[in-house]
Amino acid sequence: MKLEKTKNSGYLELVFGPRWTYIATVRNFLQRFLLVTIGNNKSADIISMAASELLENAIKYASEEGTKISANYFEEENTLILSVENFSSKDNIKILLDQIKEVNEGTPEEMYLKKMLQAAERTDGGSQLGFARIRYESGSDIEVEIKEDLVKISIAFNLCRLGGRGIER
Amino acid sequence: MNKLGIDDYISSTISINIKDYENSVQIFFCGEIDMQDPEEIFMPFFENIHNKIIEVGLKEVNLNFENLNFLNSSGIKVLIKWIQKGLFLPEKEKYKFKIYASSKIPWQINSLKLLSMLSPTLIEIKVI
Repeated sequence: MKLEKTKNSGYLELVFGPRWTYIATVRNFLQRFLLVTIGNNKSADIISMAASELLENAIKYASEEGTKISANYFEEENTLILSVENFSSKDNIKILLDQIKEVNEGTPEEMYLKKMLQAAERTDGGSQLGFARIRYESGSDIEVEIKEDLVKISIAFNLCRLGGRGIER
Repeated sequence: MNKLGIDDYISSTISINIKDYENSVQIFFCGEIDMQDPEEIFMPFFENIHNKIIEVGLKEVNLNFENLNFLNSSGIKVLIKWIQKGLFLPEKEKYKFKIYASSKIPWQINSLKLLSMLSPTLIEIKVI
């Protein structure tokens, strides 16, 4: 991993082999890191939930070893950017892009409800609920970048909204 | 043993305890549900509870999530599947879900509240 100079207020980068058993450890570590960095338990919980869902997806659809998660806190903007990167196959990248496009089409609430009903019909282990859940619980949009077989999913969390009444429903 | 005659589920990350509660049962979830395929593990367990509720003739089941720190989206799917089974029962076998959520755990406030929209008449959310 290349070491870079950073002026951000809080920065974390972890690279690990795509193994399901690491997810809980990474989620719990990230939650504690965020609690120290941003000082708000509710925001830390929501962002670590999102990280866990993105990591589950990354591991389910990875074509090779290597999953990277980074969290970048920008104090002045009161924003935290979470990114998860992994390698994936062409077919899986298409599934991913279709899922994100679909989830971003409606309001967070209607899309999450729609995906809940669809999930109930699924007989495989997956739910395809993760992106809709993240969007609904965090009120944040999901962005995706593809460079050949490298997939990077990023979410910019507005911490005022997460910690304040913006997210309360 | 509870009135359903079903043993608790206990693993290293999650325990699910069934306790008698007035004319119903209360099911306490404690820990984290984050395995890759929770359906494989929990659906047979929930189906057993569902069938016993009908057999015993209960009209309500209480699900207490106050101590469930994390539930992944595959776990939410399993919960939806159980609730859907309850919703499509004939009228005389129908039972209500009373869900206890913690105000301190954000996913519970958000996702469990939305879950109640699947059938507002049969699902009640109580935030503690």
